[in-house]
Amino acid sequence: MNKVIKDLLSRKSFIFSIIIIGFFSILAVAAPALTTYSNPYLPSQQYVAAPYAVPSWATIFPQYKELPPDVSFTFTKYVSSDSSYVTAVNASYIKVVVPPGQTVNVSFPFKWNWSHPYDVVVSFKLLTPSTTSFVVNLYFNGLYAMELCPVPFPVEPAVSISPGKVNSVVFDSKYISPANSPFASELPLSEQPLAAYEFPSYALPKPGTYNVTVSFENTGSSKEVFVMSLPSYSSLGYVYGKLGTDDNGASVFAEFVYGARFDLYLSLLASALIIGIGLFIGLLAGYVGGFTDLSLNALTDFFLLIPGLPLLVVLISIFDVTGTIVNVNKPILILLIISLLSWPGTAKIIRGQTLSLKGRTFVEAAKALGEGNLRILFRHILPNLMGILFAQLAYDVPGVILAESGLDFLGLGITGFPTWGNMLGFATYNVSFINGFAWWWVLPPGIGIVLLSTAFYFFGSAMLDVLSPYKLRGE
Amino acid sequence: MIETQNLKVYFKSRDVVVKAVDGVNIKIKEKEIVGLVGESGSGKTTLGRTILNLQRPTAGKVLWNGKDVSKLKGKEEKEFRRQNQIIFQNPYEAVDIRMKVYDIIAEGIRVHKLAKNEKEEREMVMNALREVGLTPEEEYANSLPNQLSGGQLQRVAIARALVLDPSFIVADEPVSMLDMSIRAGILDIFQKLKEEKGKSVLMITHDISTIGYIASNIYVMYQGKVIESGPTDEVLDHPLHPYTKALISAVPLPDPSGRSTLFSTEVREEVEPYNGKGCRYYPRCPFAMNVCKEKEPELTGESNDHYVACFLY
Repeated sequence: MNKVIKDLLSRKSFIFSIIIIGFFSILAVAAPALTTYSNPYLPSQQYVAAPYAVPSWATIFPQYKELPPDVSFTFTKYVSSDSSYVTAVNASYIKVVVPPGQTVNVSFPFKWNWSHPYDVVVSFKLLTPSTTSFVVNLYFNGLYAMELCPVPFPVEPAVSISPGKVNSVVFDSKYISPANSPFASELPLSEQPLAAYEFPSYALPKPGTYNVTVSFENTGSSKEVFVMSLPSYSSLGYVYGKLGTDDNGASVFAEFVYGARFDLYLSLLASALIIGIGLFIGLLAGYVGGFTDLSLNALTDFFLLIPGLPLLVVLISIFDVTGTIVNVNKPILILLIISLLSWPGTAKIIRGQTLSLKGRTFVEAAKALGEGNLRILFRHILPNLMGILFAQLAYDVPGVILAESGLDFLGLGITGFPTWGNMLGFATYNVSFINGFAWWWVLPPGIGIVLLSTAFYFFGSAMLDVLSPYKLRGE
Repeated sequence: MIETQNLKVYFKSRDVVVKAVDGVNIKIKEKEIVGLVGESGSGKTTLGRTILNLQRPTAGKVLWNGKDVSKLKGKEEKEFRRQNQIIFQNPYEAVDIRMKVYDIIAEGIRVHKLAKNEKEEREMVMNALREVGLTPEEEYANSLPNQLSGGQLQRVAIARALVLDPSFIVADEPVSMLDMSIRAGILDIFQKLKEEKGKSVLMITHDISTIGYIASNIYVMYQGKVIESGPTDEVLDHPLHPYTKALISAVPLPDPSGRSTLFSTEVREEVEPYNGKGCRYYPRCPFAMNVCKEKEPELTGESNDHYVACFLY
């Protein structure tokens, strides 16, 4: 065995294949540790950043340099127009006293180092006085972002706030409209539908220092007291993680890793199944011969002549659309169909090899020693097939990956969780020059498929070379 | 103990029928080395394989102690396999190169459950290795076939057959693939087998000089038929059939000057194809007569066990 390993390690192609396969295997096994998103296609795991966010390392390229990452923080500093009215209650709450007929502004300054983000969310808790004669306004620099009124049905775009209670105030630029934000209602009519999209670029257009200002206006005749928490800020950026995000703002890295996991799993399982069926039929046909051989060969030819992918497409569609098999889940269906359509090549190769081994003198010698057929099969023929079996196993893996990815790419296969095929499929619907052809989304699964296929091919070739008995003899 | 009765083995390939063995009667007695000589394609190997029931005969029978070997079943078949072994021409092909020498030899012991435990099995294997002259046997037992030379491998093949303690061995050209220098060593093993252990051997060869060295009886085959048979000395000293004469005169001699005085048989250029009914040697026979063209000669006794199939006698 040592000699076999030494032989293998002396091949560069084998080392290459081991490194690649090892890399993807580690990726697949460690998937849960590498990413917190177990299924990025679930809506709950989307919008971890802006759609089409680029990978964070891509900011070394000049065109991505200014893009912001995900930012979230809580303000600690505040500036007020008149400091005697504003006092800190504790580390996270401030008290604002507003004399009758006056307005007190509290500003929260912060530094912004990038171009505009995808959205802007500011939230804080506000304990309002129990009167109705006040208005609280939220400004983003000069932009009139929000107006809070203590009446149940205020005039739009003002938003209602309950008096005498702790209110949770959330400003989320994704959901602004002329009905809930003065900013939107002040826009020209034609731009109003785009208010949510445009707000971040108005509010944080470029690097600089900005202010979030909360303005307390007392319209009554007695002093009013507000208590508010220091607001927290958060925004989704255009730069995210190792491989950016897709059109739903889901982590591409998570998709890639779980895609690798599924692809490896399915292809190894399918290859094992293909080898199993192929070995059984090939051995039977080759060793028994005669009528058995003839009929099995005819069966193999029949399956071999079926055009694989079209049949796969038709079968999957029929099972899927008609719901014939409701309780079988799709990966298993795909596994079975691919395996049942792919064994003939393997069976033919094994049959041929068995035929040639059967005619060799050492098999006749075994017969002359009085060995039974089963013993000859398992002691002499099968060990001599090992090289071919390993090679076939390795050669089948890329085939299965390609077939499965093809189905997923066409949208006929798996859509519920990420695979490399459906990543590419979804990407082709969505890439355009606006998102830079989303290269961080297209390349990983594409390169993954190519590399893994090549690696398995090299692995198989090395195994075939080293384990083949003809080689061992040194002839 | 083994004899064939009008044994015929035909191979059909599309519409051509090749008569590899065509009505052969041979007999091997106990403690006897029998030689089977003939040119390539004369059916020697097929005959050997058929005798060991590795090839189904088209017609005729092979009798092993009076029983038809193709009809043996179960225990009897196993016993037949144990008692009758074969050694192949090409030692490189005849052993499974994935197994160690030890396993190759132990294979037969395991199949026939000849050893009670592993220790006994080991002893048997080592004895067999020593018997065929592969010492130090421990070292050889642990080596792989690709580490051995042809001669060593042939000894392994012989050891594999001997470990079963067979009473009859078919040796199919056991030395033709080997160097001149080690041929004598292998042949000596067979000689010893006969003399010390009383085994019978059917020695198949195309080299009539090898046979002279070892066999007591000789059969000469030509195109599936036995054309001459008899005690070795008798056949070699007084060959009757023109083909046998040609075979003997083709043996290389250290001093070729004496050759012409030995025999002066010449082989005729094949001028016409075999017509299907006459003597098979007719197209090449320098003594061909009209009767040779018309019918095949029968094997007839000439003198004390010396049989020949030729119209000249």
